[in-house]
Amino acid sequence: MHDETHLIEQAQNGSQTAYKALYEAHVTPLYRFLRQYSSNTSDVEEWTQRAFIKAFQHLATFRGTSRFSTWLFTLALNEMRMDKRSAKRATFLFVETALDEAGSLPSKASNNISNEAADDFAWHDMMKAWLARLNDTKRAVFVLYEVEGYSHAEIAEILGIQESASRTTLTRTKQFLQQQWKHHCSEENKL
Amino acid sequence: MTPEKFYTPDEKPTDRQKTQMWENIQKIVADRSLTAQPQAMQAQPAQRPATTTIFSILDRRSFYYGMAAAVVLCFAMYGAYAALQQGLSAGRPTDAKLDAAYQTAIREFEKAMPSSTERAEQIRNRKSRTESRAETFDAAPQHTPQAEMFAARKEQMGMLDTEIAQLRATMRSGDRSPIMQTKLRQLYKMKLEILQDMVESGEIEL
Repeated sequence: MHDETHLIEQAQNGSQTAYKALYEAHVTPLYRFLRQYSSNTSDVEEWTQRAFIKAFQHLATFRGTSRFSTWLFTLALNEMRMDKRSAKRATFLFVETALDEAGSLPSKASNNISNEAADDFAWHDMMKAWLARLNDTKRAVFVLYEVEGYSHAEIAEILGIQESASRTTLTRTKQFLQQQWKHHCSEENKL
Repeated sequence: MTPEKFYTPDEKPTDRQKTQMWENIQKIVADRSLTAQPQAMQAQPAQRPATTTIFSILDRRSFYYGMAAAVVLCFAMYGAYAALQQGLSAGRPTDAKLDAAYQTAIREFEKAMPSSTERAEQIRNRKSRTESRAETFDAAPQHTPQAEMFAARKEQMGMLDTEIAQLRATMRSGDRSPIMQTKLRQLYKMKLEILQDMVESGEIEL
């Protein structure tokens, strides 16, 4: 973290080496995260590049109140959203609306959302396919928290949602994946 | 869950991809900031990669759409306002419409009143000057019949105005009986007749 602060300072002073080091450190996490939203690698490359270009151009305004990666992910998601909106393929939904979608996630009324249930969660590779069926916000919350290790506060900043919404979304996404897994296992047993 | 467990190898960028992306980024920003003075980018407008030109076009287009929508909205609001006003006036009772018509007519006549007042003053002044020149010893000033008529009409109108105001106040408090309505209309009519006489006799210049 200290090294990164130093690198950012150097980059702010115009050091190309420092900026390349920042790029090297963050390109893979950003790319693989964005890859969850498109199978088209050109799109993903485009979003990644644009996020870095924006970050570099506005590096002087970066105050260091959050992690560089949090800021970078925010920029990248904005670029992606812009593209999807332009292409009329916007799939980002407001979390509250998304949570009430029939048939996708357990509704508030029918399920008691408890963190305990989510704590029993175990990842299975098959779950990735079910995860891909969820909307972008839910997927982002899950991947950022469970895989990339961001806190709910950071996820809220990246996605522009409330911290509590991030927590609720994660719990419900886990419940959904668990339900799908149970259903899958029972189907397997029948066979 | 570790990223290694979650991401498949094809979801990670290859070295070639990474190099290519870096070269593209460098192309855009290197000339401007990396090789230039530090912090220079603060004052410069953000440059977008070549591929984003289409997005800037889309941005501009959405701006124009927004402006067009704002204009349409303005027209729609004006239309709604006009329709509402028309609807309200159509819904007003006939008595109220008649009152409004009388009031409008009187207002239009009264617009000409200042000129008639000035004229009356002129008549009075002219008379005073003639009298002083003739060095008459009459203590009281002699007014012309024209000025006196005008003064009388003004007095009548003042009384009518007071009557109308009182009647309207009574009606506002709830008494809208046919007798009151008729009385009010008669007063309006009288006032209009006085104004008409004034116009015809040339006391009011229209």
